[in-house]
Amino acid sequence: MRTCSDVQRDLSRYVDDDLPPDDQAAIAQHLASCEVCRGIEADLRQLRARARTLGPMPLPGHLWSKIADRLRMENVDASAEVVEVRSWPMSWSHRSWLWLGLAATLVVIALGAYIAPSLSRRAPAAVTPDNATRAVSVQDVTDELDQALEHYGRAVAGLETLAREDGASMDPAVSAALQTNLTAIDRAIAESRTALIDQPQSASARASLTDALRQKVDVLQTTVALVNDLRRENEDDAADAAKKLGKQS
Amino acid sequence: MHTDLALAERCRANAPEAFEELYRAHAPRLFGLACRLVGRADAEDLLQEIFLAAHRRLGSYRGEAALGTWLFRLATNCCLDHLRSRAGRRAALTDELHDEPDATGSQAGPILGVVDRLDLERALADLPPGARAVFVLHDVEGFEHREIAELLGVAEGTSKSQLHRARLRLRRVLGRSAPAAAETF
Repeated sequence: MRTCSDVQRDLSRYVDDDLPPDDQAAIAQHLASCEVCRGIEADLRQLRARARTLGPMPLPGHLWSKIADRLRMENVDASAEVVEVRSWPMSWSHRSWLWLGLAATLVVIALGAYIAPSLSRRAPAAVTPDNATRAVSVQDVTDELDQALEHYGRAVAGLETLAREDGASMDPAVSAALQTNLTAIDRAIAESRTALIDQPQSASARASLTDALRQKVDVLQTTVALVNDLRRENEDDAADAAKKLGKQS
Repeated sequence: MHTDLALAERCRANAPEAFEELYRAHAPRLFGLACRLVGRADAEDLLQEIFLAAHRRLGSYRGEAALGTWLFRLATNCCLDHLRSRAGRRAALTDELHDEPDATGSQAGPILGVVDRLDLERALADLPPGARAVFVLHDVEGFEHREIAELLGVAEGTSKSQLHRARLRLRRVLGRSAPAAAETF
């Protein structure tokens, strides 16, 4: 036989029908003969029912304009933050990011297709003095690098054609940023090539070439990741990519 | 759901009026939630934060749940985070959930008359934050104890006992006469 204290302890669960059937039945039996517990049960049911009617609240009229203002400010701040991290000019429209992402992807694909196979075949020779003399000639490396340069040049030219056909001119800021990217890549390639020409049998020179190219590819891959994260508005990953970019540059 | 995805996509594309449409459709319910969980004084600022967070995170919305549900979950987390930060430590929402209930009621019959909405809102505002959160989430918003336990980081049984004590406290405060014994939090 349940006491009033036992029953009252479980009354909320009882009115929520949250007890095992046997317990529900035992409490119902107690309530049938106990006016005190029945009074509490009735009050709990009324409170629960009344709470369900507490719905939405009228909005202060000025609230939307505040939110709209902050959204505008946040959009500006977000653009400024990206420019600061990457040292790229101006702000970026959403469409601009799409073009930049596509362009950077094409550059990476071009480098990956033409440089990475070369590196994978020759990098071990570059870092191992013992087999340096068996390495391919400087001309071989130069030829492949030239092909890579030509390829990503075509990719960017094709991208610009697509932009014109689509009726949209490429954002000047994007063009400038792309040029910055390509210039950095060209400089890295030129420096590496010069070092290799000066010291064709030098393992350290070959290692420098490898490192320079890989570093630039890493930067571009991180850039692509950042662009894609921003497109998906994946802030956390974008922030990580931005930090990584900051360390790489 | 199709409409929700379309609206989310328009918001992501910064379509004119799209985000305001989202705000108009869902803000009243979220404002009610915020007022009850954190109090009217903080609710306006918090609602701004909620919608700014929603704007930033809409990219992760894939339509698995209704947009209103997604927003409500986001708002709930923002409110609970606010309560925790205001209290200064995470445990603040659970510290007061450990006392054993002391049910009252030596008086025969109900002690509540017709409960006025404003009276209930006021009594609710006077509950301790943890008990208030459980009551609002369960009795006002219809969350399951399992969900509440997850949100608050407490055991499901704790959510149930806290709800019981919150109801008893409200009953006492709103009752025509207050019984001598009172539940403790």
